[in-house]
Amino acid sequence: MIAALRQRLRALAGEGAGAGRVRALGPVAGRRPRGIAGSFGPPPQHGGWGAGAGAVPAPARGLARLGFHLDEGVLVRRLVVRVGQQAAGGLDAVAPEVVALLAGDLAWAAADPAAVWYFDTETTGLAGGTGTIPFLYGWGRRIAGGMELEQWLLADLGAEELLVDRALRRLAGPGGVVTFNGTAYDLPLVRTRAILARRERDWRGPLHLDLLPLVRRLFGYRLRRCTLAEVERQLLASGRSDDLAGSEVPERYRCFLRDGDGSHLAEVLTHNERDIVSLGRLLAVLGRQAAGAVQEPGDHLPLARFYEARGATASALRAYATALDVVAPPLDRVSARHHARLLRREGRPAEAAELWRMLWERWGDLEAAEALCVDHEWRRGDLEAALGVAERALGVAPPALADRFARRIWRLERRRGRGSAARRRDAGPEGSRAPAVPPPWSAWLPGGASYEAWQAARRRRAPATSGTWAAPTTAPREGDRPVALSA
Amino acid sequence: MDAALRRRPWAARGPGDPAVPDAAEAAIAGSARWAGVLERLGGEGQVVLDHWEPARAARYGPVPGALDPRLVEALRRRGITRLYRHQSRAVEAALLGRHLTVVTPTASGKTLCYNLPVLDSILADDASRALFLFPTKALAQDQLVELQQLADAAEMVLRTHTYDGDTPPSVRAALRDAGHVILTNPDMLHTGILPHHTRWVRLFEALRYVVLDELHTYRGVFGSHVANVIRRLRRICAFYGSQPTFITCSATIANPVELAERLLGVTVERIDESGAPAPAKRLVVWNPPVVQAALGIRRNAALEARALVPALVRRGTQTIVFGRTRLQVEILLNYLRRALAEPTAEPDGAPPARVRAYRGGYLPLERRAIEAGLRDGTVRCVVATTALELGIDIGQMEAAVLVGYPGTIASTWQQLGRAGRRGRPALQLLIVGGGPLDQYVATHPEFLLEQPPEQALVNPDNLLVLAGHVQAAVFELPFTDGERFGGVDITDLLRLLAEEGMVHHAGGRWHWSADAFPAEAVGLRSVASSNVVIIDTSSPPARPSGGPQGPWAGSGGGRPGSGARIVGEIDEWAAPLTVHDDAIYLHQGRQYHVERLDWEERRAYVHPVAVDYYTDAEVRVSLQVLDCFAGPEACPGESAERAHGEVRVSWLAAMYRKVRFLTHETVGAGPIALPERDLHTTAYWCVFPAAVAARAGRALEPGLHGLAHALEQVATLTLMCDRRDLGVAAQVRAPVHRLPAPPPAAAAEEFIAGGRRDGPAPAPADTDRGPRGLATIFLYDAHPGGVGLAGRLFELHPLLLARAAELLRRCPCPSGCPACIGAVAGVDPQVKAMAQTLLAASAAPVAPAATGTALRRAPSHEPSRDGTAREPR
Repeated sequence: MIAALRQRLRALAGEGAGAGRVRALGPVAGRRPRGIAGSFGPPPQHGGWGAGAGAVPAPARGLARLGFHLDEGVLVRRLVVRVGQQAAGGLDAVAPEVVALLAGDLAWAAADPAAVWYFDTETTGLAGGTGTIPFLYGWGRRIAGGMELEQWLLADLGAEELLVDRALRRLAGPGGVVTFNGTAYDLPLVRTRAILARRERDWRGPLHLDLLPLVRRLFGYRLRRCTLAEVERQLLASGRSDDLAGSEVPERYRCFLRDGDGSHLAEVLTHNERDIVSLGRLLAVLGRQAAGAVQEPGDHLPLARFYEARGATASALRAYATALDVVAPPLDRVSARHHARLLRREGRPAEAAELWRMLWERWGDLEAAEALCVDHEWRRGDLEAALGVAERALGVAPPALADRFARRIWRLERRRGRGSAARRRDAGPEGSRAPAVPPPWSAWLPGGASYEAWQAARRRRAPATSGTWAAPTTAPREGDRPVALSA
Repeated sequence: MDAALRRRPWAARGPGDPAVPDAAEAAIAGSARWAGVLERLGGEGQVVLDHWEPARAARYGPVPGALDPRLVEALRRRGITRLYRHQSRAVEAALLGRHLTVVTPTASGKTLCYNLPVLDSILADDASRALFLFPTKALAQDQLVELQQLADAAEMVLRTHTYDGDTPPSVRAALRDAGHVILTNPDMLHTGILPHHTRWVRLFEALRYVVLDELHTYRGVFGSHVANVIRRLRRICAFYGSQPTFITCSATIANPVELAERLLGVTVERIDESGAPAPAKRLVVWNPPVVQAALGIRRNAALEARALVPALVRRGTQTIVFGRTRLQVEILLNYLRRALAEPTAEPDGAPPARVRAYRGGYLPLERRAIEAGLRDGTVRCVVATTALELGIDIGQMEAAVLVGYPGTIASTWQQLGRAGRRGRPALQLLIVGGGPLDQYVATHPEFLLEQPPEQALVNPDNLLVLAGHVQAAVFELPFTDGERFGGVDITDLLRLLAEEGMVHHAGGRWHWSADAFPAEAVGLRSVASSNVVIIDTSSPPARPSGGPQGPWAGSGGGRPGSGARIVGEIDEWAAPLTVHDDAIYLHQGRQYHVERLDWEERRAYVHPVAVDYYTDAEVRVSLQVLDCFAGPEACPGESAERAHGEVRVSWLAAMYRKVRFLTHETVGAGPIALPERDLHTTAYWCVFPAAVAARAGRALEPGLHGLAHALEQVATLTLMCDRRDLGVAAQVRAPVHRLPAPPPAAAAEEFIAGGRRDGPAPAPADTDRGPRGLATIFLYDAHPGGVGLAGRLFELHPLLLARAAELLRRCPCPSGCPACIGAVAGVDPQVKAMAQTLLAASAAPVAPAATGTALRRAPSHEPSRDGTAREPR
């Protein structure tokens, strides 16, 4: 039974990323799992941990070599990264207004730029949920010529409270937090830790800008996957071939937990540093894009849609206009559609109608056909033109949409015929079969001259051309012998 | 009445149960009402049991004074001024925070027992929360409507919704933050809620009530899993400082309180004295007439139902007919519609038919429509599978007809209990089939009245089950040193997990440290969840075009054939039998020809046809031993050998027959080309010595099956699991005994390859003492990979045999009954004796003389004569 259990546990462990490698790194059985927190003693009271380095046991020395020191009970590592100001991948300052536009939140315009933290965590697993523990909190903020980084390490799973407290204090600070996928990952994890440590029940979270949805929105069409690694390759023009894969991080931490050797974490720390610096560079790229300096012609369309969503209508219209000229098919059609819709919504029907006409004539766009019909009928009062467009649209519409045009034609014909002799002319040749003159109440009684009756009459008139929109009938299949069902 | 209750001592009965004065009158009126139907049709001796259960008057209790006046008013508005006695007691106890289990018949108003206290708590405190668990999504939907109606009547704001795989994300977020009542299922609680409990702070910190309806479904291994989920739930509640009251409801089983207490880990109060009125009920067991005297063949039960049920429906009796299988349900529907001169298939757009079918695999909207039709009376007759056995609200029928004995007492009463509309005598009709089990019921109808319903057993401490949930529990919250899990000391288990690197001990607590999501690795149910979708290709697919998305998405794009209509769905175990190529798939009376079953994509493409036959597929089940972990070995003093190993159970849909409606003659057949379905699992098996088998002669096979049933029963009792958790196979000549010990892999390949092996060529007819194989009974875990049941059986082998012998000895039947030897009851009067002989012979050491003759031909595989255990490899 125990053997079966052990086998099953191994199978489960194998599901975790890179778990198979653990056992290769060191023997498990016989070695007692131990934490290393105890070796620090009660840290806050003792203060200066670096001073007493000689007394620190071996595993802690490993951490000291990595640059960690105890700061109010939390293991902290500080460093400064120099980043150039090149066009691609530089670390330009982004104007607070642009950040506010990106975030869609005016509070960002007033946020203290010096207190804006780029935030990224490393965790014990990638599954999410309460059993996934962030063990490294990485923070970065812009300074002149680069970025100042801070990393907080959870050296012992049992001593999380101080770390969580400190994180909550920082997140409640005057600036904001910039993350990549923090909405779904990092911040909920912090919230979970706060609840488990019984610190916060109704944590509202900090002022937060998540760059992932922005990347999806502005560049998603040309990225295969919206991961930070892919973003770095495609947008920041910097790959990292020597870096630790994100999926290996939990395993490194488990090794560290098992033998207390800080060197397992060296690559994790580097990985985290790079992630945070990339956050800063990515924000700069997004800022340039949002300010209108697009990288590629195709970017105009997503940028226009982004402006539209943020309510920057003038910029959106400008971007749509540019997009129509520079964006490659088939996105030019999409662009024109959105442009026309926005113009219509903005109460500029004449300009919209021009676009609709182009859409209809160039691409046979059925939405444009309907919009044109409406424009002809209600803005210009030209029923004949509306009927013409509707008839042509009906000819090409798939069954699912044909009914919309058929109804429109029916209504247009009735409307046209109400003041003229057109109705009689229409019914003339078929007079013997269809009622030549509808009864007097049909004009006003709802359902008097029904759409269905009209459709039937129309089908009789033009049976050959109406095949595309006639209601489908199920033809009996050959070979299926019908049987009398009454026994 | 007393006589009836004496014969059904388990039936709910209060101490001061008043005799109902009008019982006799009702009985007379009732017999007049049903007389015409049955007597007119009854030939000689078709009615083998005619039993009247007198009417029971309603007994009321007060509306508890502590109940919020707004709820009292809401009840009054719905015409309820007083509660049934059990409702009154249940609400009162629940308001006081006592855990309870309500065990009353179908449609006795159990829902109110939990809805009232829950709404009361929310009226008193808007922050108060409740969690409802139902075994299926459909039941949760059903109860949502009911709960919402009561809340509306009380003019209160109730934020509630079902929370399962179908819940849209926006609703989920709102429900987490503000939902008063969450209706969900154990599976969702297990993977979706508990591992993310920090997102459910508002629920867990103010959880007042946890309701588990249909408690009896949580039995066996599934129940053991659910019990552990409840342990985790209580642990999370304790973390947030809430102590919910558990309200549970169960159908009639032998041990509802024991089940509830084991599932919940708390002491519960039993409320089983139903105050709901019940009309007089006439229970008739009907044995179809013999149509071929020479062979003793009786008329098919479905055809018999075709004669009986229309007579009821024509008299205006709303009837529910239970079939045994989905196919039988569709066939019955066809027959009943023909007999009532209704179109067998509903044309599209026609008003809903009066006779309808109800089974798993129908689309939810279709099911809802049928349920509504039953409630408002437009559907006069429904033919159903056990899908309608659960507490789906369809109102009460006037007659329940069971076509074939359902196989268990609990299920029989659950189905019969659907009949019983207030104020009208009800008819409960069981038409037995031609099989031996059914015929046993026909010849011993008192069996139905005397046999108590089955027990529901759980074993939450099954090590493999427990281990899975302990991992999930560590993931959710670290364990502190010395903390127990549902009363179990799990320190050793945690230590083992730590050795495996799954948890990490630090600061006096055990933390989850693996990169895995343990809840996902533990499935509560063994059944696969993936379904085959049945698609009607005759409806026109949308024209594919490269059009853009948005409101105009309909103009093109999407999957090819996205316009095709989905007819229904079917689980992947039944699909090879039902929607194989060229099958006729029956759906609500409509016939579809299966053009193609795309097994990889899990889709079946069909088009409507009208033919006069249906298809019935045959499945071949085979069991092969892949590896032997231990044994075969004889326990000291015994000659039967036990073994434990890995087996492969395969199901192969091999061929199908075309069967003509009504005459049931085979008009064609064809092969089915589909891959085999496998279950790799662990098994325990018991090998009987050749000498014993040799003495048995012809009775060996039924005797072995009878003994297998007895063993299965004592095994489920001993392991506290359910019948569906254990598979049984009895083989008269199983080749396992000759399994060469090393290497196991080679042996497995041989068996997979169909037993090709060198060595002595067995003589096919050499049944008695041939070396081909020995009589063997297999009991295997019905869960993929096994959950440790087989291993326990191996350890308990002597006890198992002793208990089986005791079961057979204690059973008062002279020659075997369904309770002791199962489905082979009635096959042969010698069956029980044979089973007992097998057991007696196994328990004794092998007589040297007998063994010698039987085994001389295969000396290398001779069982150890001295009774010592053989070295397992």
